[in-house]
Amino acid sequence: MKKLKNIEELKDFRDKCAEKFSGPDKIRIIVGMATCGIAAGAGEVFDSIAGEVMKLGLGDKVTVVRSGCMGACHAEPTVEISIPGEESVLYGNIDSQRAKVLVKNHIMRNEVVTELVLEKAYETIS
Amino acid sequence: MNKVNITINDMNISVPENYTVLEAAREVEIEIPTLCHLNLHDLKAVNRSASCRVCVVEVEGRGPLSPSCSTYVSEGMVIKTNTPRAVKARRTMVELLLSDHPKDCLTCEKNQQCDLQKLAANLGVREIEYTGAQSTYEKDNSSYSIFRNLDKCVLCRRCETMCNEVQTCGILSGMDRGFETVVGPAFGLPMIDTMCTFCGQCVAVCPTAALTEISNVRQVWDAINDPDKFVVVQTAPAVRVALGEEFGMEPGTIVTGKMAAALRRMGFDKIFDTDFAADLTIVEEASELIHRVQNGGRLPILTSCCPAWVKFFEHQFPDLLDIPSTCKSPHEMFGAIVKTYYAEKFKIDPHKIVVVSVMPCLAKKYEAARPELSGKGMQNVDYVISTREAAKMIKEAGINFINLPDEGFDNPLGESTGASVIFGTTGGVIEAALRTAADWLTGESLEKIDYHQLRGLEGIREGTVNIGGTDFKIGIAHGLGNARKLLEDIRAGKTEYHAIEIMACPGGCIGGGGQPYHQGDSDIIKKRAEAIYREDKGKAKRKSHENVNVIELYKEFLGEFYGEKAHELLHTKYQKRELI
Amino acid sequence: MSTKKQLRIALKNCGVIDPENIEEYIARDGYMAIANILTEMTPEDVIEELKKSGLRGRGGGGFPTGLKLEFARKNKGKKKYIICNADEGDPGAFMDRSILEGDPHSILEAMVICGYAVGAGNGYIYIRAEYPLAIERLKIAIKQAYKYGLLGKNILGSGFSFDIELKYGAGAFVCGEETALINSIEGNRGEPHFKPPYPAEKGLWDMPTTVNNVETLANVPAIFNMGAEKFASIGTKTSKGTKVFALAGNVNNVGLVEVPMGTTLREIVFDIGGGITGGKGFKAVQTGGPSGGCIPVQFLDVPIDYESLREIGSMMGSGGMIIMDEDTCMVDIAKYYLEFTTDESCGKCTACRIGNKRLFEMLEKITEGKGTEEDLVKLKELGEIIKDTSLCGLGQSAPNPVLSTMKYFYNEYEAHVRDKICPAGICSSLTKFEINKDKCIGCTLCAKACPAACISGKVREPHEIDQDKCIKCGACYKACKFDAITKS
Ligand SMILES: Cc1cc2nc3c(=O)[nH]c(=O)nc-3n(C[C@H](O)[C@H](O)[C@H](O)COP(=O)(O)O)c2cc1C
Ligand code: SF4
Ligand code: SF4
Ligand code: SF4
Ligand code: SF4
Ligand code: SF4
Ligand code: FES
Repeated sequence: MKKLKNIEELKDFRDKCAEKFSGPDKIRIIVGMATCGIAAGAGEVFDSIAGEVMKLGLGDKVTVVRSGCMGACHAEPTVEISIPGEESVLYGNIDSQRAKVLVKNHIMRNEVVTELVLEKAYETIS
Repeated sequence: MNKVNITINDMNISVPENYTVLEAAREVEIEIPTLCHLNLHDLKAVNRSASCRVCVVEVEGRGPLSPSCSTYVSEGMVIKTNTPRAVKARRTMVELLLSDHPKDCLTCEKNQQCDLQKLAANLGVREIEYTGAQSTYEKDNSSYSIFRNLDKCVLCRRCETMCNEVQTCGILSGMDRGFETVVGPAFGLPMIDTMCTFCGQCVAVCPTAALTEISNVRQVWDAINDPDKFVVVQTAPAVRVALGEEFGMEPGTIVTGKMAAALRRMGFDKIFDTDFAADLTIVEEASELIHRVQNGGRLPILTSCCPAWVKFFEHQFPDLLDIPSTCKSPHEMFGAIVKTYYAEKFKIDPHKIVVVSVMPCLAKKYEAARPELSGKGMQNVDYVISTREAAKMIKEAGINFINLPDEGFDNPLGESTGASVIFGTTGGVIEAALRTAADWLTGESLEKIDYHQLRGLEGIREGTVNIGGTDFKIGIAHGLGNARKLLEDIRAGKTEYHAIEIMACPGGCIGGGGQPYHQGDSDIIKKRAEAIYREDKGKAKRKSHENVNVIELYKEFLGEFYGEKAHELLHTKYQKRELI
Repeated sequence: MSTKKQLRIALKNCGVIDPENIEEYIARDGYMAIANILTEMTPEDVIEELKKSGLRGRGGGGFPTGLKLEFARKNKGKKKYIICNADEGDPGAFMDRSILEGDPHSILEAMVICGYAVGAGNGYIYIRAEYPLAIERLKIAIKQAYKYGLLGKNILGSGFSFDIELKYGAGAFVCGEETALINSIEGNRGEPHFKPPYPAEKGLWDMPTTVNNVETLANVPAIFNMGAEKFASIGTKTSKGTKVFALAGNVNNVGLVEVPMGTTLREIVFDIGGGITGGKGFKAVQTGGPSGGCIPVQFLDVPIDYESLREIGSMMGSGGMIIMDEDTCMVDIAKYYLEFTTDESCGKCTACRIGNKRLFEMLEKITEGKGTEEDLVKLKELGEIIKDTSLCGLGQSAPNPVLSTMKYFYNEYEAHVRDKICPAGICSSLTKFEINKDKCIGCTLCAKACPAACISGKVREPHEIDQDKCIKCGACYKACKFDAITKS
């Protein structure tokens, strides 16, 4: 990567990145991996999800992301699944077992695992 | 300086814009109590830690109370200094301080000289509302000079400002947190293991008895009372212009005669004068200077009569150990001469002689214990007491100092010239040396001997003196921070001086760590300096090499100036010390 | 709940992007704010825009950020500095840590913006060493930003250069105070000095400096992306935008929340926080960190902002929010907070060093049942003097927990000193354990558990506690399987 030399280069690059991360076929599984999540076992959850995604051959479609805090400390580890065109779903109290269930049910069968859903109680400024 | 208009206790006044509220209040005779505040203008030593909170006042528009010592005035400021709210807060601060204080004033070293005690009295504190834990710390009497009793520390941080900012020694700093906070050397080291110079400037500004000198009063009384001992006392030049203050006399009163009388009545066997040795020092130092100039020796030559300065450069500038003069400090020369020449001449067993120095200085207590300053198993000087300790002893002895008749020193070691007197103030040593060097180099007896260009209280001064067609470039620094600047320039090869005088204490020895407490008033130091020059003017002889007893000493005993015997007895060497 | 109570501005990327990948940040318009500023705005414009947004410091004081930058811009200095205050010393607070761990680039971008506004070329992030993950992610972010030319020389070809360095704090609470922080960066003892001079006049190395909190900074790029008007349309009259709180204590949904200024405490505690744990009653909420105040139930509906919280005896602080249920002893709570601030006091000034210690000792006395009514008078009087007389914000606010609990829960103080009881049964010296003769079956479990051997009674007969010998440890209370021991 060369240094960005002006605002146009930044804009171009932004568009490229946006495409890369949020194309119509890009499913994102986000694992909350701030200090609190990691302490609650988000590391294993991440590994478990990543492993399951590989095992099921979903590598092309699904990006597993290590992210920051989602705010729900009372239900760490938390995982958010966003499928283009659908409302994203936030899950709480995930362990490595439940993580596999999420991948199988939510991604493979498109079934929301309702008993693990956390209300996503916030809006984000645009 | 621009002025601003302010209202203080309903008075409208106009004051310079760089004034603090405290300074503004004092303009109109409003007293605000202070404790941590310290402003020695002429010496550029200012402590504005704003830590004691004893000086708080109400400033309109500011939420909490403002410390008047550190709050600067601004246009339109409205200040009230004596509202119940401010007065109550101030008194509470003092009560809180006292609630964590031993309160054993009656037996305290600082009794009647203590700012905290005065403050409590002035505020009319009669009971202390708050009680609770009191901090206790181990007392530090590890050094020969400084006694630390942190139980009495009010954390004003004046000592720190003095040590770190004025002296740039960095020994003292705040440590730990909360109620356990203390001021002291890093890692809680005892003072003796640090690079403390023992200048005693921290002691000079400490408002309480948290920092005082290590007292030698008992040992000196014991020696006096021991019939087997021959106890001689010598007094440094700066003592005679300050001692009177301890007895309520005006700063700057010269009490040489009363001092000699008092010491005699206390029972010292001989009353001598360090001034004699100061003349001796000049004769040696001027010889050394001329020797270096004529033999291509290393220049500049630095004076070495201040032991705090000596220790400072041993720690801080070990690469420059060859530039200071090798002359011992005057009182050490004196001790060496008493235990050799004088003992021989008057047939006294030198082992029975006890040499006591009355000094404005705490570093000299440490110096007296330096192993190299000895001969034949005897230290050159046995005990050093400060001006303050001398005053205590005079009081203990029941002597009515103020009404004493003037008496003289004993001979032969009591004779002195004006040149030796000015040793006591910054610039004096070098002026004295020039008076002698100039006569020697020109071979004449010069009339013009007042080197006014070298006097004053500016931290670093320089001047060029023409002697017989040669320009001598002179540097003077007082205060170790200023000394450091000069030395760093020398190290970097930026300046070329022939001779430099350095005194560790701001103002020179008149501002020494063992002098009567100036309680933050730098005018006192100025008055002492004026007295020094008055005493010099009043002397019949004003050049060291004209001291007849000094000349006799060389003739009878030492031989040549700067000669072999002189080297053995009057010169010393320096050593590299660690930076800790 | 139909409408969402939370609005994320500062946290907008947290939990959304991969903080270790600059491309994800850029994909969400990262670094667009600084790019636009560098191409289109003068430093004065930037300051004007921030002033218009109404953004105020989130680190505690609530000082208008635009104004702060303006002061630093106007003051002359050979160099100027921007410092990000990531010391976050409040126990239980982790707002700043979460932002740094979840969205480090937003902080870097904000610092460049501030640097441009002030005319500073150097920035420091002062972060506590106990935040290894945040440090790691910041390091990665800084490296990436340099690589992409978004930090360093000639950013985006604008001619403006800005460098950022990390500085580590040893974790002293007071080092979060800006003048102490500056002392600490300079290698001196971390203790505050009297202001003025403010950092904007004489800060790091005596040069004009702005110190900004992490959350404050996190809002900055967002403000330029959304426009100052939009930001200013959120919140209350005096306080714009949102505030992040770390909810903790006896509340069901502990965690990090971001709400518009003007949200009520009730909404936060009950709607977002899900109410009190165990279905217990609400007693108070403590805001403002260890030196904030305790807010009782009657203020649950106050829309919170900087001013309203101050009015009810607390403060915004950096965003700690601790919820207490009905079993909480407010005297004990006050003592707990005061113990923290007393320990963390830098010890410089008399009012705080000795004053707070004395306050603490009085509270100790009271919780041990040795307090007098006179102590209550003194407690209040001294607390107010300490607030009025201390040198820095720590001492000026340390008595808040005491004063606010005295104001709203005076009856509890009275109970401790007059009746010698702790109504919540927390202060162990004041609790009394008694055996209910009707319930006791004489199983002897309590007697065996008692370390003071002060329970007597025959097997299968009701036991009795010798109140004079009881050390109030509560071992019997825990041991009894028949609920026969009461605690009062
Ligand atoms: C005792 C004390 C501790 C503080 N700790 C912090 C802290 O951890 N983080 C912080 O951002 N500000 C802290 N502050 C406030 C800072 O002094 C300063 O006001 C703030 O960093 C300014 O940033 P802002 O204007 O963005 O809020 C503290 C203040 C005090 C008095
Ligand atoms: S230091 Fe001062 S106040 Fe303290 S005991 Fe000594 S004289 Fe009294
Ligand atoms: S004696 Fe001098 S060097 Fe030593 S601590 Fe005191 S001020 Fe510092
Ligand atoms: S030792 Fe003396 S000068 Fe130093 S802080 Fe304590 S009271 Fe002040
Ligand atoms: S200047 Fe004088 S009083 Fe001060 S340390 Fe040196 S010799 Fe002692
Ligand atoms: S108020 Fe407390 S923390 Fe602040 S300067 Fe005073 S002693 Fe230090
Ligand atoms: S004299 Fe002003 S705060 Fe101490």
